[in-house]
Amino acid sequence: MAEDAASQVELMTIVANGQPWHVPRESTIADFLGQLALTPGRVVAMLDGTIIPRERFAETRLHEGCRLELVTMVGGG
Amino acid sequence: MTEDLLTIGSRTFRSRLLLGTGKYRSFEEMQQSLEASGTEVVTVALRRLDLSQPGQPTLLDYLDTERYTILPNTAGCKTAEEAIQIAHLAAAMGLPRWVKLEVIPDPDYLLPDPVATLEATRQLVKEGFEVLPYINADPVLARRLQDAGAVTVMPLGSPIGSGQGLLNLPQIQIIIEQARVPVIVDAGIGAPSDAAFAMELGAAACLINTAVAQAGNPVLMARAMKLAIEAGRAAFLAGRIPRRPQAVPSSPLTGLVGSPS
Repeated sequence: MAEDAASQVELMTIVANGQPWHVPRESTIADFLGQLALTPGRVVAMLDGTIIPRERFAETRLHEGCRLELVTMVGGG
Repeated sequence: MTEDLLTIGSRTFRSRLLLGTGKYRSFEEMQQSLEASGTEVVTVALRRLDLSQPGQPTLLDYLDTERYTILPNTAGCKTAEEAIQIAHLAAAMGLPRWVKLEVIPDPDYLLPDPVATLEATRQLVKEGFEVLPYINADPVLARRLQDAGAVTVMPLGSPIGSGQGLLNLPQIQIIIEQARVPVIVDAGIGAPSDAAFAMELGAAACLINTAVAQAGNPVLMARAMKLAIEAGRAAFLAGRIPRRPQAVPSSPLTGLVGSPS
């Protein structure tokens, strides 16, 4: 998140795929993906250990300190 | 002759070659290799999305999910719990409710944990998954997994990616002899001759990745594997001659030119 935006929007820190990220409070998973400009095909999320299917990204809110895992398919044997 | 189909659980296929999607030099090469192999089932792994590189091409940009049935694996899981979670994630992703179950605590030889594999199989079968467990070639374990509801067993020929061929041959033969489900030889196949041999012995299919992806020409090797598996399967159905200790002439022993009688 750019610093000038931080003065206007209250931010919180989440841990996404092991890294800290600053996101506006009340963000949903869909908002966070939008912030990253990610529109992945098949992605599934795990929020604090609970699996969230893609259909629920827009309604699932993140919270301070939450742990988000965004998972996709990669090549494998 | 009726069509010779491979049935794994509720799914039926014409091709007996299952192909991995890892370790190709490029997505384009992978795509062409899948095409050349004639495969209908491709394995994938589940990993964290790379958040630092949005917009990078991904596997999905190159994988026609209408054409290939995706078989998610649990590679990287060291415990039954981790593997079960990956199966859940794959299902939540909208992938078919089946899983290539790998529980591998050993990083050097990548040998699977038989106890955890059996535990995870029982749990996932209870949840309605079709489970394809990757195992060391242990006939007793193979039977226990079938009793637990596994839709196939997938013994390794030799360690993953080693290309050493069918080192576990006698045990694989016992597994095939006793199996009530299709046996898929998975891992260790290095060359088409390994795959053909596995099929001649009665394996129902082979799952191959490294031997194709890392070949000098993966696309050509994919085609070679396809032909080998078709040849091996045909030979198995045809029935090979028994091995004999002594020679048996192929030409008549009577009517020899210049013989006295």
